Amino acid sequence: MTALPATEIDDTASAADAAQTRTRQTGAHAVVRTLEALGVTRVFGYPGGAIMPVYDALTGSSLKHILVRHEQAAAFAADAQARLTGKAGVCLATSGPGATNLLTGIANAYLDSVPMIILTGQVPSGLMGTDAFQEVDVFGMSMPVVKHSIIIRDPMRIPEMIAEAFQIAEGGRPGPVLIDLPKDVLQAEAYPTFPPGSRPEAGPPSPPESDLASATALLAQSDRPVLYIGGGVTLGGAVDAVRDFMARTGIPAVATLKGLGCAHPDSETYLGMLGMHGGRAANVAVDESDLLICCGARFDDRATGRLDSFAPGARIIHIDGDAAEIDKLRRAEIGLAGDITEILAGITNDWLDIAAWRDTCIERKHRHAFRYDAPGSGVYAPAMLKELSEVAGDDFIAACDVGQHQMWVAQHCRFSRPEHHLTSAGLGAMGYGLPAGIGAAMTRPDAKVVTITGDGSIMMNIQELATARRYGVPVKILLLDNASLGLVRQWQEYFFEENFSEIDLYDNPDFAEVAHAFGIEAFTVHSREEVPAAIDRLLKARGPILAHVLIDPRENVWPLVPPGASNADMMEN
Amino acid sequence: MRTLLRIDIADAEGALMRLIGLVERRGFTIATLDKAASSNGQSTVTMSLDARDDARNMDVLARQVARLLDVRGVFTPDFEPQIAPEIAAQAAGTPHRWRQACPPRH
Repeated sequence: MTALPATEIDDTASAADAAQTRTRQTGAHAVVRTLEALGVTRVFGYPGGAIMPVYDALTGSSLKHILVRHEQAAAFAADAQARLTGKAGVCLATSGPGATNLLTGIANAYLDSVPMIILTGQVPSGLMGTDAFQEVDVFGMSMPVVKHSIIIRDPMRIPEMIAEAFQIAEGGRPGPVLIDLPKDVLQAEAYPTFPPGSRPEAGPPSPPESDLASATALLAQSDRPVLYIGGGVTLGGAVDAVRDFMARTGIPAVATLKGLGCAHPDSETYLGMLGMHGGRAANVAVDESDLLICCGARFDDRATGRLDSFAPGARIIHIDGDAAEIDKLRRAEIGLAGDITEILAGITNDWLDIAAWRDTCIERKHRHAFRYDAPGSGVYAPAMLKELSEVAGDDFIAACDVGQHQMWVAQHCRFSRPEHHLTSAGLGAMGYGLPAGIGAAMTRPDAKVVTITGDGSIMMNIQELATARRYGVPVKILLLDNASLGLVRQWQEYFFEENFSEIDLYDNPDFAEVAHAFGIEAFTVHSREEVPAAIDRLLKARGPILAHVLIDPRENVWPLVPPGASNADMMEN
Repeated sequence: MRTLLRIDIADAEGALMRLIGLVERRGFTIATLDKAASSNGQSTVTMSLDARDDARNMDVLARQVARLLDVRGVFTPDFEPQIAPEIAAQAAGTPHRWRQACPPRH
């Protein structure tokens, strides 16, 4: 976000328009004018009592307000927009239940380091702390899941504080910033001016040359290095640097769920996702490595499995834009906090001789490649997802929900860029897919945005079909229906002695009929032979469309690392 | 093992709550806490902390605290950390006995 212009707030064109109908300017007008001046064009929200002054001020604004049908969806849609643009998404809700409904979306943005501005109405200042109607302390409740939060108590400071919130949200390691707005502050007469400049957030200083030299020396001693890529690469704008590093060194690479798409999908030395549902080639390479170069990853338990047996023979070089991640879970021989592109460029590989190791990894990758020749005539979801992403091409953007389908997407879809894979990685929030798909399709109407969801997940935010319909959003919904909570069922099958408890969704509605009721084109896919035509119809649709795909409830996600086990002990079909 | 942390923190709404919440959430219990009076828009908080398990790392906690927007500086003691709380409180007033745990963020 660029610095605010040093100008009077009334200088904006929309303010002049508004002045024709009303002359009195309030804190709420200052909120709207500030968002306009900061270049915001779209906000996702839902009105209510305490935030009503802002909705009043929206009239005549250049801001496009997207009325969702649940505040959680506003946060998820703003999140998707932010992931695609790198700029903070904005969502808006009232106090009390409006604010609490946002919390899951805020936590989602926090755990995946997504820049977001959350504007919440609050009861008037004099009533705060009195258990007033629709009063909750969202400032306090959200503290563990925001990068920062503020309560604006002086309407004259609205432009300055909102501008700073954007800088915080987008600077350094991005994250959500909550701005709580008491109603009396929004209603107060206010003619603030914009501050003349901005205070950019400093990143960590560059690591000393000696540390880079040590990293180079460690690499030179290595016979079996592996590059372990995480979401921090995208956040640090270092995708090209990682691809260059891979090409220059030939080091085999694996990726976390958030790191998918960082390596070029056609790179021979890219071994795929590691971890709980990672491929054998990736997990074995890490297990056998003698040097793990962790790049923008955080040793998350879904990636490492049992931490004390993760890469047991490896020394660690940990590169991250956030110094607080170094040594958090695994001690690094060398921790390099700073700009990832600069750091990778500073590690040379003149003495690296790993041809045999590279060949072993590549051979293993081919030997353990996923197979798509499942028996029977029913739809095999992994094959359908692979075909979908290949037919859609480099413009394919997946907005995943959470469950088996999320893991199948990670395993089988091809991503040309990491930001094209929208997934609730850290929080694992069912219900993310549809609103995220709506936010993504509004942001990138030129792309092929596909929400990939399940029969459990879609019911968490199915009301957003109304939002897709209202705005004619070109989101394509691929609903994989196994009439159960599949991932829970899989775990109950293998780790709870087949005690299938509360996972049966036999009484799901006919989802195509549900979509029709919302005014959305929809159809049902029953068999494998229908898949090519279904993909073609989905991708050619101009407006929202839903494909309801019936799949075998017994289908599982493979491989699977059992809970508490080492990645090397993965179960396979 | 008990250890000390000194934090210079801006006088901002919620700053103390944010700091305490983070320390607790990251696996430390606060044995003692001393907050000095505010001066020049900031104040100094000194805490003696016990890690909940052996995996908790004070250096990592210091960097996590330093990420908070209201934190101006994080310091660890230059003296034997296993000292009585009352000594910790006195030590808060002697800056030369503390070393900066990580560079300032802003």
